[in-house]
Amino acid sequence: MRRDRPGLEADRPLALTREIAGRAVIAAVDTWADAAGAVPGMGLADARAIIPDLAHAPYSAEEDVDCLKALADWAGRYSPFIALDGPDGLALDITGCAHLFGGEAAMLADARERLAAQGFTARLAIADTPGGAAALARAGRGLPVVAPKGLRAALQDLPPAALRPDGETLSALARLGFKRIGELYPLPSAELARRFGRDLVTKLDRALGLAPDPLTILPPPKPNRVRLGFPDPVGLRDDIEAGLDRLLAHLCTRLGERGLGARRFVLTCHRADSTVARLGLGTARPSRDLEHLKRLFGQRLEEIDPGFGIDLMILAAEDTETLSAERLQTGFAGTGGSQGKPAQDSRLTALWDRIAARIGPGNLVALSALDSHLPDRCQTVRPLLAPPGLPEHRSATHGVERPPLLLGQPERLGVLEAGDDPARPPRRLRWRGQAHRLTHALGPERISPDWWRAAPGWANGARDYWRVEDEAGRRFWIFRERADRPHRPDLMGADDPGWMLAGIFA
Amino acid sequence: MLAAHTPAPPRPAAPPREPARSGERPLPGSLGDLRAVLRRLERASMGGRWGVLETGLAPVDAALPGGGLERGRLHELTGEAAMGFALFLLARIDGPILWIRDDGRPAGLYGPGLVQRGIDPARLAIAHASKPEDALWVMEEALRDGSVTAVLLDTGQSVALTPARRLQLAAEGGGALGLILTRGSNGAGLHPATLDTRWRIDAAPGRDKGRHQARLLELERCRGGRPARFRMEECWDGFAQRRKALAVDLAAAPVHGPVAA
Repeated sequence: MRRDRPGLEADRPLALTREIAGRAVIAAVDTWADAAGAVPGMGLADARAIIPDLAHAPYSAEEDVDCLKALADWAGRYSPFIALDGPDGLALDITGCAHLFGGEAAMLADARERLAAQGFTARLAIADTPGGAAALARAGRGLPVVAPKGLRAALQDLPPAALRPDGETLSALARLGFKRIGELYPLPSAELARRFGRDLVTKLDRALGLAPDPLTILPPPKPNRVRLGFPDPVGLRDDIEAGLDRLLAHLCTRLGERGLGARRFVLTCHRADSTVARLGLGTARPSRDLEHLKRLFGQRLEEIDPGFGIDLMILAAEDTETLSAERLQTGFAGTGGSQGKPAQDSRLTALWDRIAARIGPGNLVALSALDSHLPDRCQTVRPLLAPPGLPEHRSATHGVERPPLLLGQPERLGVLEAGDDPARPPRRLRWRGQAHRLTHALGPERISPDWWRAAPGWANGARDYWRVEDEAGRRFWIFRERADRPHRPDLMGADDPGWMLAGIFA
Repeated sequence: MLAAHTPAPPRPAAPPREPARSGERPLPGSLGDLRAVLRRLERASMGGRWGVLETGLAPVDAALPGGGLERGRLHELTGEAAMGFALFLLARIDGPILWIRDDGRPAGLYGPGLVQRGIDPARLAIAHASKPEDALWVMEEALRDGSVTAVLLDTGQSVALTPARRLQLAAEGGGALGLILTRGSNGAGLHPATLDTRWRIDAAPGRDKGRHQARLLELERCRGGRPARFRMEECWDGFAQRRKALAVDLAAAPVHGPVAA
């Protein structure tokens, strides 16, 4: 598999350069620059003479390798056995895997499509031997899938460079007029080895499957999950806690090595009778703080029923995010308004975590503003531990007072004595079985729904809101649907003027 | 023992010895002086290291021994208008606030209204505990931690002596203002020994055609102070987008008569 580097700026041909003896030399080019005539090994000045608008960036071999390793992780979707093949290739052992994708050709097409979607130009081939597949991919002349026994025929027309011999051997081959691999087949290997070195013979034999070619398989990425098995099932709380401490220490170290923190941790305990107990908890912000996590788990450990005993514990970190060392110190608190010291912030989030672990993360909430001018739709209640990012509370109240308490649903008010003006609030109201004689009313404040948006509860159109006070000094926020509009008997009783209680001025 | 050889450091932090000084001043007539001495003594023994929250209402602050509500203490607010007074107090505190409701029902707090009362919803966290034990646990944890500046428990239950005492100790350790808001009319909340102050707040008819919202504040119990009654009025200033408040001491004015502003 060969990979070209994706362009940095999509609108210009790109070359990556490396300093050789004080001279900028092209190390890699993108397809555009390649088509325009720039080749690796050319001086940057020469290349710019051909392509005046050539963009260039320094080449970094480490970045290349890192990218290749990331690609190797990705390639785990096709096979568990992945090896690096030189600085720019990957070799996958797909024995027994191809049928999962509908055959070798379909697998190859799938890989090509997905790589292209990620911006990689890849050359792919499938053959019986890693060397053969690499030669086919690098030489790139059709026939990406070679049938068993067809390898000898497939390779014979390729140039000897496809076998990747060292430069000296390659020039010696060229000097003696070998232009195809097939021309090497009839020569006895002792003769070849004497003339061109053992290396070429080994490479040819490996490509043809005559010599073993072991792959150095990359270790699979370790998941953010640790496990601890017990020789005998444990059931005491102290034992479980000790096991958990070991798991947490292990997991936090692993997260630290990767610069990660997790928002969610799940402990799975497999009992001896093959049932499972799970305990999950979340944190306000990504964490790998051992003491904090110990405390959070310790708070809820009694929820785990060991039953007949636990013989396996697995601790997994989920929702991981990058968590650098300085972010550990100065992290963002789950709630705003605390521009205090960072230490104070992290103490506060630790407190939120403990509370959420006790009462459930859905029960520790904060008020968030929504972009609406309708009084019952301009705020939402969200879990405090959810990632922030909602807008601040803005005042869409136009200077009119709002109550600090809003009923979840407006409640219907009974009218005991109507006022003289039917548009104004009545003289006496009944709410929850209690009569209130109103002494003052301030209003109305007319609020109309957005006609282009369906708002439940606002089907009758605009509402007139009033601030009223009863004779004991209790103050309410009440409304009715617009008074100048005929009532709809299907929505309310024919003689019900439709006064509703929206909130309380506590 | 190395420490035994070092001279004892001077103790500048030790409070002046008040009984000796009162002996130097044998004037029997100044009962107020004696009271002040006693108050100082009592506060030194009570700690008072977290400072007070001034209510900003001159007669109320004057009636409270520390000049305001002591932080790191528990204060109970009861009566039907208690929540409004609680919001008034919370608006005067900076920093994060935890509001705990103990019956699993939503607290019903409304952001735009809170903003107008001077409480930014971004510094407010609401815990909906489904059981009273959980609510008490949360309150104790938050009070002890001290990273919030005020914790309010909105409860319909009375709190037994032992958990109340735990709350009191937690508040003293953490320094947050602890408010207990008891819903319902009987409002039997905490044991009086664990409280610093207890207030009964009722609505009262406002003046100026309903533009003023009035409350009767009754300081029922106050450690180191005496019961008192106040009338508090708030009016909404639509131009400044905030509420203005003032209070008068009802010991100096008739309860239901007209009130001088």
